[in-house]
This record gives sequence, C-alpha cells and structure tokens, in this order.
Amino acid sequence: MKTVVEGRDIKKYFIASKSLFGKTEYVRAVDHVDIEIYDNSVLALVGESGSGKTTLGRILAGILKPDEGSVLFKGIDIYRDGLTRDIRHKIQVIFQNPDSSLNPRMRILDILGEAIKEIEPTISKDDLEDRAAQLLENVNLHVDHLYKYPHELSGGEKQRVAIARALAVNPEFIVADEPVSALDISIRAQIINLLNSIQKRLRISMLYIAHDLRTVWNISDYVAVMYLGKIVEYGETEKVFRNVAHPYTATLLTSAPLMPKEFRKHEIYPVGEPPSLIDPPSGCRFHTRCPIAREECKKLDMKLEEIEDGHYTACPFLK
Amino acid sequence: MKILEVRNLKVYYFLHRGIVKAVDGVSFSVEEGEILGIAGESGSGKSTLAHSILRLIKPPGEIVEGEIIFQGKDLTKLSEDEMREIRGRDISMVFQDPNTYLNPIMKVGLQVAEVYEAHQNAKIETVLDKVVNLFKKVKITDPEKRIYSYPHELSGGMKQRALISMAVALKPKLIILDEPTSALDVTIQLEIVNLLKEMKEELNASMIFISHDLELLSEITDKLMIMYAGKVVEYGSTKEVFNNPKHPYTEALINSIKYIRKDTLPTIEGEPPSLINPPNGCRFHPRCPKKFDICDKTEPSLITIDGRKVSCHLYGEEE
Repeated sequence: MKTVVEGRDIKKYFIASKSLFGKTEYVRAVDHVDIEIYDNSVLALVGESGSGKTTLGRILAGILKPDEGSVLFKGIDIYRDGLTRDIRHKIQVIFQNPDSSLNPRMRILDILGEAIKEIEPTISKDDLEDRAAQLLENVNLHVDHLYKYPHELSGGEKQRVAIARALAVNPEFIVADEPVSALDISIRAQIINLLNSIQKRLRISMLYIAHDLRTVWNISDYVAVMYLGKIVEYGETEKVFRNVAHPYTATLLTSAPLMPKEFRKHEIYPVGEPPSLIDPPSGCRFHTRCPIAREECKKLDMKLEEIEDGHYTACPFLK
Repeated sequence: MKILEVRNLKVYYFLHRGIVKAVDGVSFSVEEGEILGIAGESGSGKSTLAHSILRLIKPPGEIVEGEIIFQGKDLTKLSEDEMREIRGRDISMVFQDPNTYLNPIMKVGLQVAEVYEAHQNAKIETVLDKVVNLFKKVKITDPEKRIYSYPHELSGGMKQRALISMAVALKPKLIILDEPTSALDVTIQLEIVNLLKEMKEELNASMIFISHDLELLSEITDKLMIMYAGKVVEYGSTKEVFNNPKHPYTEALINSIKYIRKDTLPTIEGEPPSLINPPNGCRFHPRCPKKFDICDKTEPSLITIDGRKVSCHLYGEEE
C-alpha cells in the first residue's frame, strides 16, 4: 500500500513553566511517535484530552513544526525542504469549531472564493461564483448560502462550509480534528456521512482525530490509540476493535455503555485519575491507571510490537 | 411517592427579536429514589427546564405559566428568600462545567464548607472534617490535603467530584444534574456516573439527569423523557423507550447511536427549528420521515399508550 503521509520519530514538547533558576518543565505532547497514513484510506487517531492527538495532527498537517523528527508528504520532508505552495494546498485541515475557523466578517462566497483563488488566481467573477456554488452543492448546501455570513448558518451548515473550503483546493490529505464533537447528535451523522462519501469519491487520505469510538468505527480503515504522547496501539480498525491488545484501548471500549458485546473482550475499567502531562509516569505511561499493571510495567519500554498481521501494541500483558 | 411534579410549565425568553418559547407546556413527575433522564439536542429546552425547577432563570427569561410542586409546595409561588433555603438543602444541582461554578481563588474545601455556613450557620473551621468525609465519599484521593487545593490544581474529574460533594453535603431529596459529564473524557464519565449511582443509593435521593448523550442515559436512568423544541415528545421507562421507541424522533435518536461499520449512518435530515417561529402542528414534522397530512396542521397532544406517553399523530388521539 502506498504511504501518503509519514511521521518519523516525531517529538514535540511545550514549555509548561520556566523559572530563572529552577529547571524548565515541559509538557510532552508528542513523544517520539511514528505514524503512517496510506493512500485513499482513513486513519483514526483516538485519545482523551491531553493525549497529544491534536498536536500530532497539526504537525502532520504541516502547521506546527516538531522539535525532532520529520514529516514526509509523498516522500518530501515538509519541514526540512519547506512547504511549497503546492503542498500546502494538498494538505487541508478541518477544525472542531467552525466558528473560529470561518471569518465572521466574510460572506460564504468570499470565504470559498479566497480558497478558489489560491489555485486559480485569475478566475473570473462569474466562474468563481459557479465554482463556489458547485462546492456548496458537493457538501449538500443550498446555493443561497453563498450570500450569507457565517452567523446566519447553523453549526452543521458552518461545518459543511469548512469542508467545502477544504475541498476547494483539491486536497489529497485532510486532517479532520474532532469535526463533529461540537455538533448535535442528529447533525453528527450527517457530517460523518458527508466526510465518508467525499473521501470515497475523491479518494482522499484522511487523518480523523476523535475520542468518539462510534464515529471511528464507522469511518476509519486504521486506528491509532494515543495515551500521554505515545501511540499504544495501532492497526486495522476491525482488528483493533475485535481483538483489542492494549489495556488502555480496552478501557475505552468498555467505557461506552452501548459498545457492542463483541468489542468488550476485556471488561476492564481504568483506575484513579489521569496523571500529569508534565511529569508522566515512568515505564509504561498507563501503568498508574491500568487495572492489570504489574511491577515490571514501571520499567517497560513502550515499544510497539506486532501481534498479528498489521496490528501493533505497546503492552505484552493483555491476553 | 412523587417527590416533584411539574405541571404545564412554560418558560419563555423575551428578546427583541421575538419570544423564545424554550419550554412550552411541559409536565412530568419524579418519584422517590428515581433517576429521570431528560434528553434532547441543544435548544430543546432541557437545560432551561432544569434551571427553572430551582428558579434560576434570569431575565429576559421568565416562568410564564405552570406549577412546580415539590413536597407539597409550588416553587413558582415562593419568595426569593424561601427559594434560597431550598436550593442546596432540599434540591441541589450539578452543572456541566465545574470551572464556571468553582471560585478560582478560593480553596475547594472551603467552598464546599460554605454550604454548611449558608444553611446551618456553621463556622467554616468547624465543618472541615465534614468536608474531608465528603471528599472521601466522592473518592477524591488525599482528601485532607485536597481541601486546601485551588480549583486549577485539580483535574476536570476531580473538580466535578468536588461539585458533587457540594451537591450531596446536606442530603437533599432531589439532585439535578445538568450535563454533569459532558466536559469530561469517556473513561472519567463512567466513573462519575457510577459515583452518582452510589450517592443516590446512599441518600435515597431522586435525580434528574440531563444530557444529550443517550448512551450514558441508557446506563443510569430509570425513566427517560425526550424533548424536542421545548416540548415533550416521549416519556416512559428507559428500557421500554430504548427497546421500542414510539415517536419517530426518539427512534431516529436511538438509531443515531448505533455502531455501524463503513456504511451510511441513519440521519435526521434538516436542523432543529427556531423556537421563535416554531413549525405549525407537530414541531418535528419538517424533519419527520413518517409525516402525513395532519402533522403540519394540528399539534399532537401527549397521549398515554402502552404505559408510555407519546406526542405523535401516528398513535391517534386519546379517548
């Protein structure tokens, strides 16, 4: 399978506090992570708040430079060789909250127009309107919306506009960062269906960042589970759900009350509170919350081991 | 025995754009020891309903009609001083975002102690051991130290536990929970839900649990009330509503939380209506897959069928 985006040994720490004499403290948002997104497929990145999934998503999208490691887009190292205009168009991001990603002072036509002009700077006014109207049609919005401002639209409609804008520049890779978390349940399914059909039709590769396993199960081909800056489990979605191999993933699966029985192979629940990001636990970072932790977990190297074809876990103990 | 009975409650917001009928003729009751779930999307009126029980509606909002009978008294007729006595002592409330309700510059233990100060004229220093006990009950680790922590030193889950300890401090008869876990991560959500169940058993209190998360409500509630655009559309035992939803809206909501692999998710087309100009007839009719000729003309009344209340023309009128 062809790899479209590859992250190699990515590290990103943020400074949490700095004092004149004391040592500087860091939040280890992403701590030496390898990740690949294949052509025409959806990788879901799952984790709770503070797991580093959004940071990793931004790094892969080319909008946040990692401290160490590299991101290759179709073989080109985007941070070393620089992001060309062309690559910037090929990679698009859809954010959680369309209110902060759409300029409230611009009409939808101008929002989309700005993106269209990125690739066709000399487009005529009429053609621009036609293109914008077509983009809206692609996301199932009425053409009337072109002349509206974002505040006149509902949350679901705004997210559709954000998707239309991302599509305006013919992207090959989309990072969708919790695109439905801010929406009502009845609207969520509409947007997921839209993303699904667009992905299939345009054969776009996608990184879908979420904490909601229901949409992950629906949309993704592969899933990577993140905990405190590390990927703890990775594999084809079917394999990870049916044959879960990391206790953290297992606790996520059992914490959803309506999760189908076949995915509740291990009925285990996490213990205690999430640890601090500044001073993460030694060894396996999940050991402080893990119901099956052993003494040796405190020293465990969190290396991903393949347990079945294309299914990796950082825990050797969940059987 | 009924602990609370709400009759034909109407809560409107008087804006210059028009009147928002947030709660429009809602009736229900809560039995002793029962957990009633109220589900609905944003704008369905569920949160307004919760706030109006404690008379926490501020202008331009107003309770315009109806009765809220609690232990034989109509809360809508009480003075503000009498209400203040009831809040926290007889009926308490836990809100969605603990950050908004905890004072950031006051130690959490002292904030909880204020509950005793306000209702029992106790000096804060004399009730600290009670607060430590409460913290133990809600499973805050290291309670002796934690009472001197500031809110920012606690995790989201811990803060919510502190708020819950405040809500149960005076052993109220009724606890209203307004999206108490929506701001929390999934694994923490389940822990909080289990804690609430324990508290309910211990106090033999009743609860009203408001959430948009049907999955969570299926886990914790005895009865379920589904709201749409300020109205009750279905109301009955949680199990029956889940197993055999009668209203098309309930059915669609329940379908939307199913786990479906790589296929179109069932959706509810359209968007929730405006509450200033709600649709004529049944408010759900513009989005309803089962609508027929009278749905946009006559408003259905809430009728009892198979031990459940439903407001839908599919089931005819009550004799």
